[in-house]
Amino acid sequence: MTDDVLIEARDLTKLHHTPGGVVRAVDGIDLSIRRGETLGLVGESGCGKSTLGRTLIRLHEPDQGSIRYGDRDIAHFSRRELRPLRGELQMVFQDPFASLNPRRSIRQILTEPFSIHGIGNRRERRQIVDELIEKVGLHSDFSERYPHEISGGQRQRIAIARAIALDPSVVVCDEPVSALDVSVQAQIINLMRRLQASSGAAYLFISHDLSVIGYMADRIAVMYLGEIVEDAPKAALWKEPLHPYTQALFSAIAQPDPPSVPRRKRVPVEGDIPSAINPPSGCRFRSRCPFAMPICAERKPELKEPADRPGTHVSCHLVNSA
Amino acid sequence: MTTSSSVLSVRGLRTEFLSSEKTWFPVVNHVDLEVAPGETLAVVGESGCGKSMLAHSVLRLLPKKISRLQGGEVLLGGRDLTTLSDEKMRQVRGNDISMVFQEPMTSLNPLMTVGNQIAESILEHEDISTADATRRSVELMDLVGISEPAVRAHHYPFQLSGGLRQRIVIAIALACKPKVLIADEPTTALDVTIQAQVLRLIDDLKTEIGMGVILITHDLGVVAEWAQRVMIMYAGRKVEEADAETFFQGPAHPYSQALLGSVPRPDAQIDSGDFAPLVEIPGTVPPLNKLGPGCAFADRCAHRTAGCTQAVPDFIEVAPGRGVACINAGDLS
Repeated sequence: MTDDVLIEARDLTKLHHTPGGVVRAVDGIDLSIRRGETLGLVGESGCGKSTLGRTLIRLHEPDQGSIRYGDRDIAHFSRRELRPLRGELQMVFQDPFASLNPRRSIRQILTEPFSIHGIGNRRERRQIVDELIEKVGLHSDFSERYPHEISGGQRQRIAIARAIALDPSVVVCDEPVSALDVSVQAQIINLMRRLQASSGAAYLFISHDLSVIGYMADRIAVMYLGEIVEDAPKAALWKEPLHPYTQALFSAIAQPDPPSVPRRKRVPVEGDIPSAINPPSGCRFRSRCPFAMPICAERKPELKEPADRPGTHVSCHLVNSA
Repeated sequence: MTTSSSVLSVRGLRTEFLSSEKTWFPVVNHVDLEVAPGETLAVVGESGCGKSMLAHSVLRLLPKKISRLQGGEVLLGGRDLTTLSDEKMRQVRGNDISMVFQEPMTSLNPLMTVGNQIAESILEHEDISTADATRRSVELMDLVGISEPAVRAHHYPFQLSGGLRQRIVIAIALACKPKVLIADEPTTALDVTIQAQVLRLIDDLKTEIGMGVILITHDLGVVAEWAQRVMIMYAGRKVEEADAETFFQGPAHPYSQALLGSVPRPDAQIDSGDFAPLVEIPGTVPPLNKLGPGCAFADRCAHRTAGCTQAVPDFIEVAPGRGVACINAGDLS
C-alpha cells in the first residue's frame, strides 16, 4: 500500500435487520481509493452498492471491519469525532430534489457547510458561495432561487457544489446522473471530471449504467449480493472480464453503433438476483451462473489475483482453478 | 415505407394542453409516423419532448379536461381511432393496440393476483369462460418466460421482482395478440441483465405474432440494438427520421448529432485511451408553452444561422422514412 491511498476499507460489513431476517448488505469488503482516482462500483439494484458507499464515509456505522482514513480508523468514530471529518467525506445523491431542502434558497443551502464549520464571516461566506456557484457552471444570480425553481441538471450542480464546498478528499457519488437526460448527463459528467482534476479528490462512483462507469472510472469493482466479485483496472475489465457475472453484465451493454457493427457476444444470465436474506451457499452467483460446478455450491470462492493479470482480483472457482 | 404495408399510420397528429394561463399549446405538433408489422420504430427524445404524449394521444389516454386532439388521424386496420366513441376505443385498447409503461408496479393492481389481472384483460375482449381465461393466462406467463407460471399466477405484484412484474405487464399487453404494441421506456426501471431479457422477449414476440412495435426510449444504445427505424422528437415535433443503420452511421439533425455525441462510448475511448470531454448540449429542453417562432432547438444549436429563429423548419422527407427538419441539414456533414 502506498501513501497515495486516501481511504481504505478492510473486511467492511454492514447488516440490515429487516422483518424477514438479516441482510448482509455489505459482506466483508476490501477496497481502497487513491488520490485523484475514481473507483467505479457497479451491480444490480439490491446488491448493496449504496450501502457500501454510505458505510465507507460513515453515514452508516459498519458492523465489522475497519476504515482507514488518513492515519486513523474511523469505523467506530462517534458522531462527535466524525463531525470535523464531515466536510472531507462527502456524498452526491441520485435525486437532487430529495437531497436539497425545498424551503431554503440556494444561498442558504450552500452557506450552511461554512457556518457549521465556522469558516469566514458573513461577508466572506457570501463571496465564497458566489464563487462556488460559478465553479459548478452556474451564474451567481442563482443563489437567491429555491430548488423547485431550477431544472434537474441545475439542481444536481447545486448538490455537487454543496458536496465540494469544504474541499472534500473523498466523494461518494451515488448514481449522480441517473435521473438526468442524456444531454444534461454529459454536462454533469464533464463537470465532475473537471472538478476532480483540479482538486485531486478520490471518487467512489456508483452507477448501474456501465457506459457511464466505463467513461468515468479508473478502476471498476463489480458487486453482487453484498460482495465484490471482481475488481480491476478499467481497460482490463472492459476488454476481458473474468468473472461470469461481470461477463454477463458487460455483454448486456447496448452501444449506440450502427446495427451492422458486430456486437459483443451475449453471456446470458437466467432469472433475477436471489433474495439477500437467504443467499445461495458457496458462490452467491452460482444460481444464475451458466458455468456453475459442484464445488461452487460447497465452497465460497476467495477474491484472488490471477498470476497473468496483476491488479485484477476475482472470486470464481472457474477462474482461480484455471 | 409505403402506407399499404403499415399496420399503424399516424398523420398530422396535433395534441394540445391547457396551460395554467388558460391558453392551449401543442405538445405533439404535426407528427406523422408509420409502423409495419414485425417492425420496431424507436421514438427518441429527452424528457418533455412529447414522446409519451404521442403514445397517449394514439391510445387516447389523455386527461380530458386539460388536453384536446386538434387535428390529424390515427389509422389502424382501416379505422381512424380519433373518430371512435370512447366505448369503441376501449375495445380497441388491449385488443388491437396495447401499451407497456415504464413502471410495472404502478400499472398493476396491487390487490389482485397477477394471474387474475391477465385473465381480466382476456375476458374484457373475448367471449370465453373464466376457466379458459385462467388457463390462457398461465400459458401467457409461460410465453413471456416466467418459470412455474401456475404457481406464480397466484402471486400478488409485490411478491414479484421488477423484471417479473414487467413480464406480467407484457403478458397483459399481449393477451389478445395486438397488431401494435407501444412500449414506453419499458426497461428504464430495470437492471441491465433484466433489461436485455425483456427487450429480447418483446423482439421475439414481435416476430412471432407479427405485431408492430413503437419503442419509446431515451437510450440510444437500446435503439441501436432493437429498433429497425428511428424517429427523433424535440419539443413536440419530429425532427429526424431514418432507418437505424443510416441514423447511427451519421444523423443529419444537429440535435440528433449532439444527442449521439453526448453518450459515453467507453469501447472506442478505451481503445484510443482518449477520454475527451463528452459533447454537451448547452441549456435544457424549452418549456412547450413558451416556444418562439423559430426552430425550438435553435437556442441550443451549435449550427444556428439567422434563418433558424424566423420560422419553424419544415420536415423535409428525402425518401420514404428518411427526413429531417433543419434548414441547415444540407450543409452538415
